[in-house]
Amino acid sequence: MYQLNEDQVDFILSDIRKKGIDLEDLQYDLLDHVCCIIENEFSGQSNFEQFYEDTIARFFRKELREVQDETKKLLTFKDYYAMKRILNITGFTAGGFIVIGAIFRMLEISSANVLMLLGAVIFGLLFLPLAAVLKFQDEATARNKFVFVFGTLIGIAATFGILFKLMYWPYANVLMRGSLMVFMGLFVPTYFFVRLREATSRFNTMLSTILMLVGGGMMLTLSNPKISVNMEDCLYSVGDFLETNTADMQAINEDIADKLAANDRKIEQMRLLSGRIDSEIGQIKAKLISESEQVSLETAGSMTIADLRNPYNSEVVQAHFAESTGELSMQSLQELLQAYNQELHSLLPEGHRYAIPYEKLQMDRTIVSVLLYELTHIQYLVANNENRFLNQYLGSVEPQQ
Amino acid sequence: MCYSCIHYILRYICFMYSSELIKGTLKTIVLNLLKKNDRLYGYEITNMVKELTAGKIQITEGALYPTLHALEKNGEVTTEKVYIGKRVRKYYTLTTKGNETASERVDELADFIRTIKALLDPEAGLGHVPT
Repeated sequence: MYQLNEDQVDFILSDIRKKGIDLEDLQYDLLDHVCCIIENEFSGQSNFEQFYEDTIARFFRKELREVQDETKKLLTFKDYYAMKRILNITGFTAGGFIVIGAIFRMLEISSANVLMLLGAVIFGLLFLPLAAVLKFQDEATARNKFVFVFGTLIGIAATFGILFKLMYWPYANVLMRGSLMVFMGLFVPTYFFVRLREATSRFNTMLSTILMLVGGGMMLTLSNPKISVNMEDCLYSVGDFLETNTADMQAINEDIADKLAANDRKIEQMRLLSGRIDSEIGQIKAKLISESEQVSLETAGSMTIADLRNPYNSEVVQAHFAESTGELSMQSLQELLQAYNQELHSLLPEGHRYAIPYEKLQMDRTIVSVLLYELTHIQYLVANNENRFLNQYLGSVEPQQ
Repeated sequence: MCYSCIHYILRYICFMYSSELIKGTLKTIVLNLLKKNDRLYGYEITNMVKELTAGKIQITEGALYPTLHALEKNGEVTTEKVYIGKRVRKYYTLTTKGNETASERVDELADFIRTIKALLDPEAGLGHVPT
């Protein structure tokens, strides 16, 4: 049995490290094994280094590093399958949340945004990164690994861009358009030229590239370059402003009427006319809010457009206003407004009266928040006409003592 | 002629099994050897397999050590380091979990061999009475 000296052992260990074995445990495993082979099979007559090279060559096909790579692969084997399971679970969960959230959004159910947010977060922060890690391990070449990681990063940016757009958060357009342009301008060409080198996947590469170009081009066309705005907030702001101005105008009219002679026939006529419209519209608004929000009429009476949980409700408009008959219907309001416009002739001179142009308003096939806004606007116009009448009268009638 | 060339030729002269066949049974082979012996180190395992199979199965070092490391990570073997000068020899011993896995895999392989035998020689059958 050949006896190795310390220098020879050092030489073997150093060479094993030079050949790419970093794992210390594996270095010593291989060192001991090589030493055992040399001790049992080397006669001592031939060249030691040559015998060592011939011995170590038995351990691999191309290079010794294969042993370490295979070791690392087997060590992460269990993790690999666990990650694949998690990938499937997160993928289906994210997909489910997003689809259900989209359906809820169409049905105007309030939890739609929560579901979309959860789905996008799971997809962007769990599914896509996991998919990238697994693809990174699966792909053999560094180029392919780079392509998939690059694609994943763009996917994550685009996912959050779409989410920001849905939630009206800032920088939505930056993320969406930015990721789309990087996708079209950088990723697609990179993908094409890297994958085209592989003969086996050439057809799939061409097909995928065409699909990505067409899909990306369409997305770029459809993406809205304008600033993301929350339309609901805009509508609430306008509605609130109008309601406040209407209430202020009515209060001013009340003050003016108090200062004037209360038993003047025309003043009384004007006040009654305005009051009739105001009351009718007030009741219509309360009825619509009560039906839409499923609250009592009393509660609905104190609610405004900004209090609506279902501002996009169109069924309540059709069922309880546009298509209904009798009191508090669209037809009855239009008749009342027609009568109001006619009476205005006798109360205000030409050039000082403003007929309510109700024919120009779309009061059916609309959403409840828009209808409420239109009704409030009519109340404002009525209050404005009354104010104009009273101001004009102010000069010609003795104020009440 | 270098040692590796002789070894390459001998692979065919000695009718060694293909690597695909050995790859699927390597873990079972190693677990079973460790079950039958108190503790073994890497060189002992390869030598024992070679002797027991008259050289028909030769486990390559490139396949053995990844398998041993994976078994250690799974908790199926424990290791004991013995220092021989500057060398560190790792002795592998089966754990309780490894013992159970060894029994399961040996039984599975034995059943598989019976099934393949029945497939290749249908007249012999599996020895089961069909219902």
